[in-house]
Amino acid sequence: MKSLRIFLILLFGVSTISITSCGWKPSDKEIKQLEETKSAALSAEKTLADKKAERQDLENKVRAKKAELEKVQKDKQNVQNHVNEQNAQ
Amino acid sequence: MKIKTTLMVIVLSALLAFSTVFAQSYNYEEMTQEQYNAYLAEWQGRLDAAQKGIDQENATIEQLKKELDDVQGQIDQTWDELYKVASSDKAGYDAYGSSLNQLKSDATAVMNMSPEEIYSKMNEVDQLQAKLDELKKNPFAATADNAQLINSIQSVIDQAREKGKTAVPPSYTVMRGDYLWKIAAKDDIYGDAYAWMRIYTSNRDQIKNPDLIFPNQVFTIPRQVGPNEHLVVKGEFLSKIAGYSDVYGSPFKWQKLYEANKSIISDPNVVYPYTVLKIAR
Repeated sequence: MKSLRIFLILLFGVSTISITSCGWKPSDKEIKQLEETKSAALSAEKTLADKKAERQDLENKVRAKKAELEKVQKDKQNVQNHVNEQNAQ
Repeated sequence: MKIKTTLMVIVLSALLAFSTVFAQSYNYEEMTQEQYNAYLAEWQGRLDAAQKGIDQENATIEQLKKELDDVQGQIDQTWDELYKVASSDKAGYDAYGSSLNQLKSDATAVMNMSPEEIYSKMNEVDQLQAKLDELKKNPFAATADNAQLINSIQSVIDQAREKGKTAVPPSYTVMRGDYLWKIAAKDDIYGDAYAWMRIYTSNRDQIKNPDLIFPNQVFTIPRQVGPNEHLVVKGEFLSKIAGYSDVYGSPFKWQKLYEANKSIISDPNVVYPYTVLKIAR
């Protein structure tokens, strides 16, 4: 009886040690999923940065073109005034 | 030898261990399930946010491209209207710009000459000014770029004119007892009595008779030949001078030269050195 008690105590101790030392570990599939998600996120963030740069470039171009349009409109008005003055003379 | 082998094994083992640890993003051996889930959620969240951002940027980019095309269309249309107002086209506009650039180049070339050269080519400066005045009449002169170019050309012509003025001949005030021969012989005038003819012919408006000059008359003492002038040197005669390319380019036009200088040439067969002949254009 005594030996059985000692055996059970030992068994409990060994089981406890086994349970604590052999914790949860991600499977290969899970590792692959985490790595792929991370890679996709980093790639998407890079694409986003490129898109932002492209958008800023386009914004600058639109701003420059609007300034050009304003200049051409003024030029047209000046040419019109010049022609009117020439005709008046 | 044994020690060397042992060291190499240790180094290789260290490298292998290092690469194994850093090959993976995480130390999966010590990762708990909670940590794994947190990492996965974090990356999934970043991926979703980035994709959402990409979609938004794509939409904005498409809108901007459309806007860019639209503004370019308006620019093209405005140019067409401008050409129509000027009764011209793009080729005409470009040709006008080329004319301005050519004129600027010519004006700069004159500007880079010495004051004496500019003075002697003052008629070229006048021609440049006339060309510019003509170009100013073109409707395209009113565009901002061309107006700026015209201003810069005008500035170069003005500078050339001012530079040429510094070479305007000095003057001499006649004193009692002076006569042309004596004045020409002075060291600070020509240092050559025979050059009296140059003083006489350069001051025709004041000297009617070379033997008769008066105190306080102010004569110009030219150092350079002025525009549309020719200084006669020994051995020259009217037909020879008329044949020079910068005069008339034809010896047969000697009469034109004679007519323009009749007041100082008594015999067309004889012209004296130092005579300053006017070249009528």
